Amino acid sequence: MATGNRALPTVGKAFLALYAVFAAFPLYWTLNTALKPLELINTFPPTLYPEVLNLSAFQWVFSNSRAVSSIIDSLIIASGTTILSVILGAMAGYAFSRHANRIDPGGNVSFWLLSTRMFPPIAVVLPMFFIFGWLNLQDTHLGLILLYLTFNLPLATWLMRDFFNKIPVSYEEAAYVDGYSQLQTFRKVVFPLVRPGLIATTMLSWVFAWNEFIFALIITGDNVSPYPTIIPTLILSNQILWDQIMAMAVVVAIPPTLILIAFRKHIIEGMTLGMAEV
Amino acid sequence: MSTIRGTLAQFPIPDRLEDRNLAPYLLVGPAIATVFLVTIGPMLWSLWLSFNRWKPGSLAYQTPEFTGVGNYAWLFTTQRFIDSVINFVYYGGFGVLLQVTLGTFLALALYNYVESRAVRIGLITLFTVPMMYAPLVAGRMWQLLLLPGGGVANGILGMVGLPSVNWLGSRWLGLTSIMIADTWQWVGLPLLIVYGGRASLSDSLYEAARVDGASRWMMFRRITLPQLRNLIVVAAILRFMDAYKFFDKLFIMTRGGPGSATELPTFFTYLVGFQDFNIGRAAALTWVLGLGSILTMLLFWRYVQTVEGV
Amino acid sequence: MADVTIDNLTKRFGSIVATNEISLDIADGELVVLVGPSGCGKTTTLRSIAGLETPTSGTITFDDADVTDRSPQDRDISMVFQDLALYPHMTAAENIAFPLHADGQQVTGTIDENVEEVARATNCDGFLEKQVSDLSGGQRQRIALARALVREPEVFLMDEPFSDLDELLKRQLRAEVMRIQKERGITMIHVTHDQEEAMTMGDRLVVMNDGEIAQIGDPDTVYSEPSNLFVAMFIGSPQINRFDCVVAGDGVLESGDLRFELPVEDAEALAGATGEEVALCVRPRHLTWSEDPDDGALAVPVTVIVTEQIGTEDIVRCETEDGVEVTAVVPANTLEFGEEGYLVFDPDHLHLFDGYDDSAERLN
Repeated sequence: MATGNRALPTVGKAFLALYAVFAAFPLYWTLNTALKPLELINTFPPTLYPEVLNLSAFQWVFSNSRAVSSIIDSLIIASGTTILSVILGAMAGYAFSRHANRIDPGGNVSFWLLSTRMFPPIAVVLPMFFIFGWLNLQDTHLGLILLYLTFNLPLATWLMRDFFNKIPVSYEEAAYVDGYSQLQTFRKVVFPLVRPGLIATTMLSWVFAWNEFIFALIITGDNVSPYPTIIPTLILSNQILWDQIMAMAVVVAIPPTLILIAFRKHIIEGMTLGMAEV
Repeated sequence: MSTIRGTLAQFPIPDRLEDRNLAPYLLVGPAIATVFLVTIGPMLWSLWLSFNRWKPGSLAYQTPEFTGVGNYAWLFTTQRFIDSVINFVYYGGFGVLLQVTLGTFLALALYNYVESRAVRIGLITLFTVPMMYAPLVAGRMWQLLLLPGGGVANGILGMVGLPSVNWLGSRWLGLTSIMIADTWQWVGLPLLIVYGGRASLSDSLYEAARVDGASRWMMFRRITLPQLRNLIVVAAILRFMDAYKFFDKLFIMTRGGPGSATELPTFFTYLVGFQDFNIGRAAALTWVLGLGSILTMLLFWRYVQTVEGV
Repeated sequence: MADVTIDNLTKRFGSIVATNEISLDIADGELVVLVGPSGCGKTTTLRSIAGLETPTSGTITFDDADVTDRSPQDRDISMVFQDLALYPHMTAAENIAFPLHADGQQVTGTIDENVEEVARATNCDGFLEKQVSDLSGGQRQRIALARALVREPEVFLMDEPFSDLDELLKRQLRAEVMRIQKERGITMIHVTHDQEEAMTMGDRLVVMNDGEIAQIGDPDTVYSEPSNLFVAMFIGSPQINRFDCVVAGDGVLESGDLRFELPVEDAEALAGATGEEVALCVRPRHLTWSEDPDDGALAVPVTVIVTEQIGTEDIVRCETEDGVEVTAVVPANTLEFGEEGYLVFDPDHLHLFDGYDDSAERLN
């Protein structure tokens, strides 16, 4: 057993190292592919690193009008839906946190609200496709912004409620007693304390909207095309344009990566619905 | 875990504000109204549609026509749907098992064997960052790695002298390949949940066991696992719920193929709804899926409340 | 500062009655302590005075003004919360200054001057620039106190703010609060579950139980003449000794094999009550040890089971033959485990109650 005890940490570390390679490799390979000329992608054995840096794929991402406009579309939609869901979600989250025994005595309303997020998106988009058709919202930024609220608003509400719950009610009561109005109390006491949570919720909502595919596939078309919808189409006469796709993948992965690094603690909390704090 | 605690916490609410103030309703109203308009309302309409034959674009059923449970009857007698459910069970079952087991071991190894905080955070970030990427993009990345001709996976097999494999070219292997790609992306979720749970376990539990001369294995079996059990179940259900909506990677990696071999229910629904425009049937499909996910959600909720006690 | 009148205050939370028709007058400059076990309604009463709860019925008056329907902002009160409610995003000094920045707050002199003055009075001028998270428990208490004292409110409320402190700090802070309260003539209402704290601090105690007031009175009265069995059992440490008896005749009580012949003045209270249940209580301080008591003395034969030394006295726990536990306070090191003898009652300090439950009323 003594040897077992000594070997176990080594085994554990080796396991972690091995998995780290497995986790990192696809990321590396994406970058590698983006930097190689297309002809070298199917060579055997694979080229492990680009011998000559080939930036043409990145040039394409930043100059091709379809690529650029798809990224702009994604930016508009993700930002729009984030603003709406964070404002509405923060309001509702505050009410659920502070007035739970009035508006949601059993905790059921907030639970069902969250559960709509877990519903398969196809169930929402099927009727919405027709409703948006009648309302002329198909293939518009606004249409997707509204549709993305189906998953972002419940998330924002749930997370904001969690963040508000961490602020003791007595903080607000103390301010009331000291003569502060509800609005002033919110500005001076609640807002400064909830700000990190608000930022995390904003970032997380943004990332989920940024990455969404199935709604975008069904609702958008010629006018609006968020970046995920053009990735499956980057094909030239049966040849997948791997270098362009991977350059695009690298570019669109940059914002979420930076967000995770910058707000790790709160993003992790949000990702696990508040179940893990690391 | 704080979220969960929060749901049960009863605050000593300032009643004065409660009794005479409309604020809570004004605050929560817009969100509830929005969710009703964009989610619940449309879904109720689709529930009605699911009892109708409606195939816009065809000659026969231009407008919805009531058929009772006809769509549901069609559904459960269609082999292609049943196959997709079988795929779902395989994919959901083994995929979740793989992700949760791997995530648990990674989390415990990270917690127990990595002393440096910087390395720990670096690894957690590395294991978590794929969750931040579009599943569609992740699918494309893995498709490249698994290319039948010059893919890296086959390259490695070649180096050790094994023949190439057509990773996405058949039903079970294709599903398994997608499962591995999805594990790469989502193992971070169970990892984070288990890591958080382990970090919140008191050291005194382990010190007491050590005083009693327990081996590492005993501590794992008798303390870590039972203490984290419900949290692990919660992570598993959370991941399982994603199987109901699994679409993006399938769309990009196999398109349900070859043929319909790797189809999962959401993808099948997509085909019925947006390729055949058989809206009534697709609506019935979404409601079967939806009921499944509601039941899973209730299970999730029950376990979440037990986690409360950990 | 104002006087406070509470009239028939009732507060229900759903089906739970937190306070039931409580009436209470608090004089200007008085320190009143609401004391009772948790759930007795003391905090609800305090929060109603603050305006943080709306009474179901009843009124609250400051001087002559009915404030029942006023929001906390309009009541001109200060309150120290149980968790202190210090803001983690502000320094100690900013916390103290916080009430002075509220709209409509009249400040004489600059804010800094006010903060410095109150900081001196509460001995927290040494750590004003620190963040709240860097302060010790005692320092936080002082800051919370200073924040509540920085204004001159009508009423000063404290909701168990000392409950998390160690004994020494608790004593120190209690003394300081009392000093400041007397110096400034503050009308103060203090809530605690700690009867010892209540006894040391209060000009008057309001002992509460089950949403009702069990007794109002100064500490001496509450201690020496508890008006019901609950108060007798709750106030005083070590706890009062209690014998559940039945009246066996004129001035005679029986409890199992024990027989008590009461002094004349107490016997009168029981006249004609033969057969009734009566609880006889006596404080541990009013028992003396004797190997061989005088004839006719009120005494119980006991065996010593535990002795605990507290300074110059010992708390001795004894047992009668029937296993009834009796506690006495005797001079240190006079008794040992296993000693047998008698505990003799001081006949001037007997308490009789007309039953065995909390609401049993005092008879003598």
